[in-house]
Amino acid sequence: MPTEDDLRVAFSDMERLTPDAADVLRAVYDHPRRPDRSWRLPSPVPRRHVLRAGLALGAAGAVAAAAVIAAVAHGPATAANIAVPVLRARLLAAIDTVGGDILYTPAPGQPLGGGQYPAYPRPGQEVRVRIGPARGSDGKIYKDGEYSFTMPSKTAQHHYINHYTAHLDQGGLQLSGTAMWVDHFSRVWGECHSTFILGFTLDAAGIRAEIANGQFTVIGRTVLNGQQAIELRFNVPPSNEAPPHVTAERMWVNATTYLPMRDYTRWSDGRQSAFDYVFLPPTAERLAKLRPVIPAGYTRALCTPGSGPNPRTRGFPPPR
Amino acid sequence: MTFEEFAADRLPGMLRFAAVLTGDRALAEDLAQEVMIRAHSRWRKIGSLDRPEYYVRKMILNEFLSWRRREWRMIPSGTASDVDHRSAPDHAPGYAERDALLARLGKLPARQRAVLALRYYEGLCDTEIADLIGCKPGTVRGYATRALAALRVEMNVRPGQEPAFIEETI
Repeated sequence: MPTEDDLRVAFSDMERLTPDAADVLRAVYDHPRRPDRSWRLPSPVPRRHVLRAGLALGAAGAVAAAAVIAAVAHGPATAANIAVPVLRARLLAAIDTVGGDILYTPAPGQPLGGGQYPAYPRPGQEVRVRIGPARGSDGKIYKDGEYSFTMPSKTAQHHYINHYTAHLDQGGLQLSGTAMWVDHFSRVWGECHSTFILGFTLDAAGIRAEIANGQFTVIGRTVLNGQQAIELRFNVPPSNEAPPHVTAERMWVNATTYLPMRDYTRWSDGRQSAFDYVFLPPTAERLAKLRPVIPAGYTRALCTPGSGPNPRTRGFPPPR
Repeated sequence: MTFEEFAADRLPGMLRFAAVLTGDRALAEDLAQEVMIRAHSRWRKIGSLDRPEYYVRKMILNEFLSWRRREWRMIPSGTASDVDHRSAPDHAPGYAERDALLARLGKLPARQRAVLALRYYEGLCDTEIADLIGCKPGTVRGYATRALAALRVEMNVRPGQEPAFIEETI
């Protein structure tokens, strides 16, 4: 059984993982000065829509106040006065229709980067998640990678979903599979059997869990990327964890197709992040582009604990 | 203190802290880059503080603690082996135990891991850790208790010696 001294030794041993200061400083000095928020939130729901919502709710009864979407004059008739259970069913049905698509999650206004295929995997299905490519300030790709694994059983997924709101800030679905990465700076690549965690974040299962649990309130209608959208606010439970933690989360779904369009998160320390959902059919060309390319002449790296594509690299969505 | 002076004198320590927090070189590099880019842009304010390294270390800690959610979905954890099995694993018992400990460390929730790193690597007391993380010392002890239990670490309590922490009912 290890002792506290072993723990001290283990932490000291990790000093060998210290990154090179020159690389860090190069990134600091190369970094283009940008405003913290390079993206824009959709415009808030116009006041007249709120008023209409109030009128509609008054007619329907105050009890259902939070469970009704405002009817707006220019919106599609299918989106009028939809109770939350109905909306939830339509959202889940919409997600199921794109379950076999490729899901991309670019930062708003940014080109498509890495993606996940299939967007909503069934148990036993092979899943591939491209992490990257990550570009430096010079526009060159410097990191790339992919995780692949078999989607766990429904039992494991149910455990994941049932504990979703209980573990907002930590944990996830424990998986084992293959991690592959390419480091274009060091000209090395690796491929390892590895264990990793599917976080409660962009994945379709996570979206589905939040929607299935009904942990949202309908804010109203708005226009996003030129399309009618429904704005949802997820009910983030109070966190007893130490800060920073998530304090607000919103999602916009297409008012016609009911597919997720954008996710926005705010943290207790004031930071914000956002990303878009893009579902595209899995053509042979798109699937081929999902695979990282290993250029000739690169050296294969040995596998170490934690080996894999870097999950948090500059330029990856969502941005700060 | 200028940013260049800070980079020359204190950055190596910050990078070691990032490495210990993440247990991964690439992650540590990204963590440090993210923080140092922000620190650089605000250096006029940070550099005027009495202990800028304390502030930057807190930035690194906060950045690390906010990674678990809403960032990217894959977090490497545990052990890894070559797909083609050409690399021979080291079966020496000592290394195996150390690797097992590292693997379990990699699976800890971020706050628990951070508390252990601050206590056993930085040598901070629970009050100092609580101040850095922004919680009560009792909460820090709770995190440590759960983390040590998960790691199955044996406490070094000797007769007459005060235990390193006291489990509290929260």
